[in-house]
Amino acid sequence: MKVEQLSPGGALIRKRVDVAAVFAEHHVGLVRLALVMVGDQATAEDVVQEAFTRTHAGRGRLRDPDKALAYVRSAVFNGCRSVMRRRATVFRRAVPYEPPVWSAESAALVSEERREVLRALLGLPSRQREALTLRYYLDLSDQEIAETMGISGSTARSTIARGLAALGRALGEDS
Amino acid sequence: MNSPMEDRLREALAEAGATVDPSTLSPLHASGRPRVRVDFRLLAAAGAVVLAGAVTAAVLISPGDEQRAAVANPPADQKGETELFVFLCAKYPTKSPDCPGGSPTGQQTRAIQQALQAVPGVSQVLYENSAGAYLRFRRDYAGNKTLLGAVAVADLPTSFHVQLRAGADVNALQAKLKSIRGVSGTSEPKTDNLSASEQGNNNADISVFLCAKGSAAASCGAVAAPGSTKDAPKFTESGKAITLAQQSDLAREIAKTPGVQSVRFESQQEAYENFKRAYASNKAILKATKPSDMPKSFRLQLRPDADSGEVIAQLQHLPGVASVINSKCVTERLTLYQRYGISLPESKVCAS
Repeated sequence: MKVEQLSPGGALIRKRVDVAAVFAEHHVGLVRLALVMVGDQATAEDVVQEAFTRTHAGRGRLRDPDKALAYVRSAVFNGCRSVMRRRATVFRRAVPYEPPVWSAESAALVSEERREVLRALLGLPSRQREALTLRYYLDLSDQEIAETMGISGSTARSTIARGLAALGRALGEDS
Repeated sequence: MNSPMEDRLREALAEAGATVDPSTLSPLHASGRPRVRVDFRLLAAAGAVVLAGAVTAAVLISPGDEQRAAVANPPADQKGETELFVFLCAKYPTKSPDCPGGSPTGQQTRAIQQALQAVPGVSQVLYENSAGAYLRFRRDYAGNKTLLGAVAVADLPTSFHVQLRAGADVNALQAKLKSIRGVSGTSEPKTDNLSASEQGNNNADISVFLCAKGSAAASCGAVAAPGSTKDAPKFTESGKAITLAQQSDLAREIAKTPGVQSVRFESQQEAYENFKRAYASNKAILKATKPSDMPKSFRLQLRPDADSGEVIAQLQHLPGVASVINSKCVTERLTLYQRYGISLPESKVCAS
């Protein structure tokens, strides 16, 4: 009987995931994801670093290896949300903030046509923007998007559809 | 299947994402420390000596016999490895004696990191920024409102956490690091004192040191000569030892003081024994110290709800008292330096 009592604990320990390794492996990808969300690389790197520090501190809590990447992405995602929220407060009464990736200064890096799309994306409600980014940048499935964003699969699906429609309207497409 | 809108969005995102050049990314820095389970606030023994350095401070430590055992047998989980924290100079204050050059630039930091990695015996070098240190700090002092209010993120210096293999020469490395520009100091966060702290808190909350003959404390009647400096003190009149009558008055007074739970008297000989134990590895300082150099003291334990500040204020002006020291405060300040590289005034650490 003793063995049985011990085994669940042992299993949990074995399943523990090294979050740091997940971060190291996906560092560039995560920074890119954050960049697409917040617009500039410096902030994106900060967001990823911050998420890394936080999750690293709580690494003992993560017990499901299959969800490690989704967990890490959520951490980065939440960081991006905080940044966007902070900006919204700071810039509410000031000039609209134009982060570099979709601003005129980055014309050398990203073509005008693309920047137009990015700007339209920025104008969407945050949840739609996030869902679209996960779908069309990371090519995640509905279920993965749902896990990352902490919503249900069907909500993810409908959010993407609505976001896509809104984006089309913003860009003046009739399709 | 794909609508043109989807394609446009996909391409735009891909292009935006591609602007990140992997080679320009700065590496992720880990705080690298698991959550802390030991209550480090109750530091004891040898470590306190490092901070205060003075003979009186050494006497603070009155390790019991279990603690002596703990010091002799370091915890097994250390596997002979030593951890060294290397604190980098902070931005503020811009000018401090340890940091004439101010805080190191990114390049200098990397240079320090590389230098550390190149040291023989070093198995791991982790970097911790202020935010990481602050998270750690918040966790360790979650219940301490005074400290949380006194320390901000910017107060905590960035640091490297160096793991040294067994047998590596820590002292030589520490000496070498002190001379490096941008390094403000080093500490060994896991010294023996931690294991001693786990042994329980049979240490005194407050230590009342009594005047000895020839004491340099003004409270004992010593009068400093004009031109006397800290390094070369001169006295026109040296202090007087506490008289037996004063001592018994004092014992009565302490027993009457509200908040005091128990009192223990420590003789010069006992103090010297403790001192010998604390400095067992330092032959030079042992040779230079005699039992008669050690002050007598009363060791007080307070009730949990007692106001230590008030007790100190009541006792420190009584005749024959050289100084009253809040031991918890001293160890707390030592911990703060050892683990976070910050020196805070006593008023901030122990404001009750």
